[in-house]
Amino acid sequence: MNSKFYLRGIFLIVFSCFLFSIPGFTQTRVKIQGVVKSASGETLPGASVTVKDSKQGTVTDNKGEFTINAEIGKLLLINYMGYKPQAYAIKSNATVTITLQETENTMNELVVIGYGTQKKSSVTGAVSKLKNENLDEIPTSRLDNALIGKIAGVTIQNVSSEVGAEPVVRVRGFSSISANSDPLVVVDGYPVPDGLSFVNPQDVESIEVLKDAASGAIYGSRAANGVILITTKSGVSDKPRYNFKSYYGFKKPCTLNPIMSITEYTKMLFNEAALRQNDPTVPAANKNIITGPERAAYIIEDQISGIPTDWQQEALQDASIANIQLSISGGKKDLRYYISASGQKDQAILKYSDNERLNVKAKIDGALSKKVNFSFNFNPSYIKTQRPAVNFTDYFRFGSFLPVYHNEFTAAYIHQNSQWANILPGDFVQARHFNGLQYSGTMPDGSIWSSTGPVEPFATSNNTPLSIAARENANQQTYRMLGGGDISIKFLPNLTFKSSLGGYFTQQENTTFTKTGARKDGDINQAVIYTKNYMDLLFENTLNYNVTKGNHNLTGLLGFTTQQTMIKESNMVGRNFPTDEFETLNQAAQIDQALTRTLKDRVGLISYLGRITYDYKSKYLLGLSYRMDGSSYFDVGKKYGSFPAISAGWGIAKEDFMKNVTWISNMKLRASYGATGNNKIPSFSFQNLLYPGNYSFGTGNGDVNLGLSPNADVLANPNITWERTFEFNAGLDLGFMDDRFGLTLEYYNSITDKLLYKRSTQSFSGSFEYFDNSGKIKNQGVEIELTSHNIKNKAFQWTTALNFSANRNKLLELGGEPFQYNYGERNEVYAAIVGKPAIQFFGYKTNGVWTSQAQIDEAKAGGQTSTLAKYFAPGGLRFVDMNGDNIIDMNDRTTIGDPFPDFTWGINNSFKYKGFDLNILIQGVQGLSIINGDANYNETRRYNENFTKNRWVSAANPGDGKTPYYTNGENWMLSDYVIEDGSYAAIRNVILGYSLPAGITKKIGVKGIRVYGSADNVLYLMGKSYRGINPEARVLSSLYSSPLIDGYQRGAFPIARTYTFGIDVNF
Amino acid sequence: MRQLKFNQMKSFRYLATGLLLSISITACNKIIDIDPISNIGVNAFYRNYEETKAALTGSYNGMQKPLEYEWMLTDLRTDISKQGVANSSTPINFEFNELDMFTLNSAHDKVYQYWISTYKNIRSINYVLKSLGVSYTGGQTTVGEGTAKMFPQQKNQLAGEALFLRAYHYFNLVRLYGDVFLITEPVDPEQSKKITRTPLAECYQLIVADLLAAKDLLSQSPYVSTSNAEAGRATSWAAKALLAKVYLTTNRASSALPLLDDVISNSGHGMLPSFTDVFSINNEMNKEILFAVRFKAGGFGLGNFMANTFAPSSSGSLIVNGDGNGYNFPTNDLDLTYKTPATGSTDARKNVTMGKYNSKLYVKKFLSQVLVKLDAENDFTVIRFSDVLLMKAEALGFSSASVNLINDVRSRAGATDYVSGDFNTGFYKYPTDGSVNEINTADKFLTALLNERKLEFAFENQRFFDLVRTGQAITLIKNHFSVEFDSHYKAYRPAFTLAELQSHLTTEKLLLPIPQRELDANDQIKIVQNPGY
Repeated sequence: MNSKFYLRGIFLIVFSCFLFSIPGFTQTRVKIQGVVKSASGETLPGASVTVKDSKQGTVTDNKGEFTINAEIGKLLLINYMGYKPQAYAIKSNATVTITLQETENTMNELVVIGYGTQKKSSVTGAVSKLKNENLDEIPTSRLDNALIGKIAGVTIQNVSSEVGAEPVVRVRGFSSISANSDPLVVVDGYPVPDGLSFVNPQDVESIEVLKDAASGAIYGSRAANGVILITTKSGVSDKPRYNFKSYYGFKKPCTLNPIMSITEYTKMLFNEAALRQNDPTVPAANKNIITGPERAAYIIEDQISGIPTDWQQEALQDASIANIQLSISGGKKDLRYYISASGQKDQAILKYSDNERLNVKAKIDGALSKKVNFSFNFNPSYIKTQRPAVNFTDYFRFGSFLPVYHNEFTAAYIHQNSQWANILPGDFVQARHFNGLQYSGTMPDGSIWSSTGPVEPFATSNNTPLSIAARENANQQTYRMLGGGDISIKFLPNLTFKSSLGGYFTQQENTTFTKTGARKDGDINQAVIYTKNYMDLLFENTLNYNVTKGNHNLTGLLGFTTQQTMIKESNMVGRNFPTDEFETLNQAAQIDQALTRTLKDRVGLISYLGRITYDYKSKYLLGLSYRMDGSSYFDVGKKYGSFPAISAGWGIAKEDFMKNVTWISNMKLRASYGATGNNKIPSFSFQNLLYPGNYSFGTGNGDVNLGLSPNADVLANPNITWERTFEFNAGLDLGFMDDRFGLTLEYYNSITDKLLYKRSTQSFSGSFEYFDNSGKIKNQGVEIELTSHNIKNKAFQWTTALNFSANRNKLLELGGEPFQYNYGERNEVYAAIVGKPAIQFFGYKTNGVWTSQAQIDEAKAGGQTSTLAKYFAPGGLRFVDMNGDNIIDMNDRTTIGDPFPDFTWGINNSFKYKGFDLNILIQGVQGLSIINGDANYNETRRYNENFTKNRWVSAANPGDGKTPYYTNGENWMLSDYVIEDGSYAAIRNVILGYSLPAGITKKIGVKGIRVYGSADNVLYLMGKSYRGINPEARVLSSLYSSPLIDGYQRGAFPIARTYTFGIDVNF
Repeated sequence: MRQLKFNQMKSFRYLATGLLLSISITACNKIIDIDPISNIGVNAFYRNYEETKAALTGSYNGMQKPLEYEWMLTDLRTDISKQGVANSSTPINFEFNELDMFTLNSAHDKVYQYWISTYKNIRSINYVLKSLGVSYTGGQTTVGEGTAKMFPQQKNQLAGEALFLRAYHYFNLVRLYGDVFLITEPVDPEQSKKITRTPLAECYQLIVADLLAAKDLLSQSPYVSTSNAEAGRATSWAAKALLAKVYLTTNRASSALPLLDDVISNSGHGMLPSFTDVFSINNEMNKEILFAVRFKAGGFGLGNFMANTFAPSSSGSLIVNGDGNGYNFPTNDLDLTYKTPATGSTDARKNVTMGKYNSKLYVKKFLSQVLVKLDAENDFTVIRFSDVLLMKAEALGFSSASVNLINDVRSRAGATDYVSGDFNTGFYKYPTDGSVNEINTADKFLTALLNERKLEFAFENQRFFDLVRTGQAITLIKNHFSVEFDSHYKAYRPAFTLAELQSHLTTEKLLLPIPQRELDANDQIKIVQNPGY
């Protein structure tokens, strides 16, 4: 459509020139009155109207109108930034309406920035824009998952196996070590805490990411981690348009752990025993060390139950995803609407995990008069999530000898123990059922083994995972409502006052009902009901001023905003219900007083903001902004922080000297410097608070006396204040051959000082951490975004978009301390060392294993000693004596890797051929290390071939000399043996679509039909040293929620490969 | 016209700016000057008797947490308890192994958990003491002018209790870690980096000063069995008994004796006729209990965890609802030490102390039925009257009076007079008539005393301190390794010899390491680690 107009325009110009420029033609002046409008009918003030080949010209007034006197036969040229130029041939006096078509030129598209929009050509900061093309065709429950690999400098990592679970989103890496490094998400101007989770991808018009501090500074105290602006669709003046879209898909796991069955495992043990038999260095007692429990487990699997259980498969289900959505948009000049509704049901491949969503969105905007505009929006949503009671690790650590359900043989066997006389075939198996019995049977080597007493094949008190998952139900329901309205008044043609009031409300309800005996035998039933009520009110007032005088463009913004948040939480725990069928709390025999509680919290923020932008002929650009925030997070006197920014740009391509370099269509140099802040710490961290600490006094069992105690883990600090990031950003935008190739380069260098973080303190003070503002971190990086229309002809189009980003962080200062150690759950150390990346794994460097006692004796003869009790053990890890003192001790620990990638990248290729379209997204992360916590847990490493292959067996059979024997020697977790490569490259998503030819769709009365198929995670390549199944998985709870601990994974869940089929119909 | 237009524009501007300003001035302070709604800050509390008393209640609560770890650092390291499943794959059992076999290093998590939870409560106590104006300077604990307003008797009561609690914590700390950090008032993070370890003698000076002050501040009224809403609070008698133990530990037996005599004659406390009744949940805070850390079942968050953690693992609901963890596994040696002959009288303490499930031993001294896991009623006894008697016997040293004190404790457990037969298989009182099994030397007396304490206070976290105090730790624990080697330690893989096992236990290892975190956190002064770590 557009190109047709364009052609017509050129034709007109050429034709007119040819026709009317014949010399000697009579020249008569006539008066042309006109109005210039956009295709959507809006008048365009400030459009330039010039007479071709003359100096005569004018500009449309605020109504978009102009009057000009010119000679018949001349051409009027109408120009307006962002629109294609139009020509009008003058024939006589006339009143005309000139409609301008928007250009496709990306440099003139509008980019949303905080509190306004800007033409891309005028942007001076680092802002990435992503237009919604097929975000809603990527089968996921969340918008952020659809953004993976699409924007340079934005990394999105799926860390959990649950569908709908929050991924980790980072803008420009690890920009802060405070309690929270999540970017600020703003939906249509409203900063909301979970914008990426509830916005329906279909409703998204575009997503802008404000990456540098100068762009983010207008959001002041919350922008240090970057700002993601989501703009939703609006109606356009047109006939109503209906769109119907639906897809259905199913999921399969990519890879599973190589877990041996007990039969395979026991055979391996016997093979190892056979190897030791011939090794004279092995003492007789250690030749065959296969324990009674191991033998008993083998007998159960091989001779009683008969079938090994693949617990990994038992964890998984045939999952599907289904989505249906409908939208209507349209309107007239003064009232436009966009309404959509969508529903989705998404299952995880892990059993008992799914997510259902319902979204409605309505947006109405229009004009009450020429001076008064308004807009309303209304966005309710409902999300229901079923959360699995056990995670994937709990499945694959169970030995295969335990069936899921008893069969007649296993039931008969356990009936020997009168405690289990009532267990029937078909009942869930528990490990304890097999304990305390005598076992006798044939071993893999043909020998007969009989236990000398009762044996415990698997000494765990935990129930089998599936029996827990089936009897513990955890649901989360969230009702959200984002709504608001604004009114803008044009006091003067170039002065607009806008006032908006919005509310964001969520009601979250988590219900966990645990049936009798769910987790352990004798567990009584229990209901936990947690509700969270989050209410946020935002009041914003802005004054916008913009003026164009000749080649000078000036805009100004002044604003005042307040935001108030009220959070209410309540938790109720009831126990001992008369039946497992009801969870009505008033039927509970006991309400748990310790866990039943309420909490209220308030947060307040007030802000003053201002911005000025200026440009001269779009050649010289300048921007200044300032924001002052006052926050309730800090004590009196520390509440206010100010965040200024300055930016400048130079449109080189517009300079005269570039006129002849026709192959360069765009060249712009940008630089910016600004300050942003971070206040994301718990409320009232400036005061030590008292928490309940009751105690019972009195004769007999005593009565509960209410007590309070200052027993917080984190000490308060009244002096804490904002953490500030100062960032310099330089950017270069390039366009070649009419923007057929576009390249954007960014370099940034930021320093965050007064770091808000939990600093270690002496534990004898009662806490091991306290909040403080000390320390400095530097982030430096480059980002490249490249777009290339490789092939662009009518029949075939091929476009490649590539993004690449690399970030380096360095800890510059840590409150005068040279380092700080942070500990994970297995005491593995994460070191923050000044002058190094902010998180580094810290431990012993290994040098293979001790292959024999002789080798140890030799080392000892050489004077080597160790304070580590289990260090000198054949088959155990051998550590490098880093300080060369011949004593292996704590002082030999060193840095052994870090969780930060060297670079991240994404390539999106889209092809169009006739009715077909194909989109392929490849994405990767390179050069980071992770700690594989599975290596610490005997259950998760015992049967896993990745930990047993080529392991040390005896001096004569040392394996590969690198793999330690199971429990020999020192704890693996303290060494680099558990540090693995977390890099990956993946074909994330492939979408193949076909649009039915217009001829066919016309016949059935619709505008267009497109059918498509998509596949997720088609290919997934992992690092060589990686022993897990999902390099993206991370543990982020409890200890691991600390910002100075990262890179730990345990029991990674399998990556899902999703295949979907969808249809998209336009009426 | 033009002029007017300009004015109009101007007035709009003023209007808008005025609007902005007025909104901002009225609204801003209310929005960001807010106080916490759900919790009160320390600066706004401790103003009067009620508030300080509530804070003291919070400090009593703080005694529960360290007990989760105390048995690991005490009984587990002696001859009465072990990690019961050789080659267990449970991570916590690795930690137990390290304690059980003295192979731990300074990064041991439980060594740290006990440390931090104890110091956390010391902070809580110090806040109370500060508000009462109690200060410790120059080896003296004095009560001065505090911030909390109350009557002097009220203040003395609160101060006495708080001082007892502080002394209790420090006494445990010094016995486990040696020189510790002596914190007597709340410290902020910056100050804390300047504090180093205090020599042991000075630590004991504080403990003694606190207990001396506590015994005088607290009321001297004797124990009554009638209903008393305050039962469970520290008393003057508890302070005296604890002080006596401090004196015994610091080789001041002569200072301990008068205190013990005072308690025996004037406290109103005494032994119950039945050992079972002492630990019955239907008989809490009975006459025999001088001080206990109290727990309460019923979903108050105050329940005792020991019923479940000490019950045998995988026992389902047969022993206790919600299954057990199988921690604190009694040794076979202890099992055999209780004399339960087929005929004649048996040691009544055995059945109260431990049980057996699927041929596995477990601790049942603190086991009562629970509705919910980790929510048992049982109190944890800290000082019992029988301890006072045996302390007196220890203070007296070898004498017929002290043998009689041991016999008093034995006879309550069911021991009969020795007439004839095999003393070692029957269950008798020690003969005083010159028989073969008479306690006739100081060595024999010590053996008998320790044996009696082992049986009487098994799993009350006394054994380790008893062994160290009497200098018997190395010998007896090494002996325990050899006794249990064939039945237990031999099964470990990779295998080790008895000599290797015993070699880990040195005098240095009797002290725990200062947690590595404490050393790592301080960048200003170097904190010296205990030797051997």
